[in-house]
Amino acid sequence: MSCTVLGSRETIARALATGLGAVICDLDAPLPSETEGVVIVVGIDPATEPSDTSTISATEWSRLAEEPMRRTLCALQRSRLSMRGRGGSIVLVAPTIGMAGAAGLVALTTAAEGIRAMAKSAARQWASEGIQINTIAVPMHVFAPALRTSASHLTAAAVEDDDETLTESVVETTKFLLRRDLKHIVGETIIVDGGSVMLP
Amino acid sequence: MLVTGSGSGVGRGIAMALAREGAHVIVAARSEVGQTVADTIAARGQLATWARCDVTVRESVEAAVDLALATTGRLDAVVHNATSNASSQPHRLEDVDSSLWGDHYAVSVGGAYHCAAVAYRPLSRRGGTLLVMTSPAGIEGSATLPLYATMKGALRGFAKSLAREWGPDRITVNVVSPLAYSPAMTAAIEAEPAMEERLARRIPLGRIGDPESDIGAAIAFLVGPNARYITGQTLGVDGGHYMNL
Repeated sequence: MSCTVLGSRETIARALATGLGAVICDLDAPLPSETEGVVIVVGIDPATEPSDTSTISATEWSRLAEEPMRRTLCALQRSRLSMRGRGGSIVLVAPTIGMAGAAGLVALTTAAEGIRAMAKSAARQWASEGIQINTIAVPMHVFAPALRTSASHLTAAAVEDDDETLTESVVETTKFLLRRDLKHIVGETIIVDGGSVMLP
Repeated sequence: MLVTGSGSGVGRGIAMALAREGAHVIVAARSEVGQTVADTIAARGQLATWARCDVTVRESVEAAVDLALATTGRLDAVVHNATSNASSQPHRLEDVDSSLWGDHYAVSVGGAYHCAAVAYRPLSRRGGTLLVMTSPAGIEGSATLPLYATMKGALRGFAKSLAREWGPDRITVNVVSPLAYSPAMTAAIEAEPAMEERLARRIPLGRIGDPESDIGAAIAFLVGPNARYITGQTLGVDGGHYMNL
């Protein structure tokens, strides 16, 4: 399968590209033609710092809330174009923190949950074209290590916090979701975080 | 209490319900229909003031909040109900351009940001409430309204974090997912009368909600004194239509 990972090389995108044997491109870059699998690592600035919603500037709000959603939309649109007529699989990688919320990260979690709803909607619209879309949710620190303490209110993971095996699990889950023979896994979010956030 | 998008539909019902419960309601709406709603409330012997308000413009939201403070001396709740006029028009995600994106984002999410940024200080004085509105589309996506779904999902992420951020100030932040008659739904039913019965059959309680007596009543509870320990939650007020949460 020809696969492309879209995302910053400073993030888990690099490990995903290595593990999948895929090309890595910037989130906004054009996709190679006839791509069968695309992994979109949501664009969260690793240098993001917590900020109060009442004082954050409009520019910063837009950068942290609107921009990641718009970039993801454009990445989804480009992915569909590269798969047109043949279908393919798209996997988004987003943080779990949007599901639980975090003080100081309102803009970021707004984007994260908007992107998950966008992915589900795209999955519903494009399934008839043979394009499957799912999401993997991973701990916040995978995107921004400095924000690890911002997620400290979450329930402790059931397995030991170990970045190496976590990355391995993310890669293997991505491989699973990229499979073309699993036609009935659509619009799903699989949480890969060692059992911290367990949805009802 | 300030209600955005309250010139018609669910927002109007919320404004009417809050006024009935004794609140002085700021009917925040872009057009003169806001004055009509305020007049209707006043005719019932209750309190309301229209604020011409475009939630996409921060200064406009500031003016509405200032009007609330000047008129009543306090702000106890903001209900951000406004959505883009384009939100109920079906579209394909691959066709979304900057203009359509901007329409949806600016009112729903941009408006929520403006409401939060402007209302924080007055709400924190007494431990008030901010409410935003979502829909099943925001939870499970939509095959027909993907941008609407995106914004409604985003608002849930917004509310959960804000509930944590504002908890120390005793401000509650919640999300309501209503199912009720709206101008768009009424127009759709007029175009296809059978739709009403078809939809009602899918609602366990067997009917489409009333904006005032069903949705407004639930909102009145969430902004009131008996709900001060409820925050960060999504409440479906939909006759049991959506139970997947």
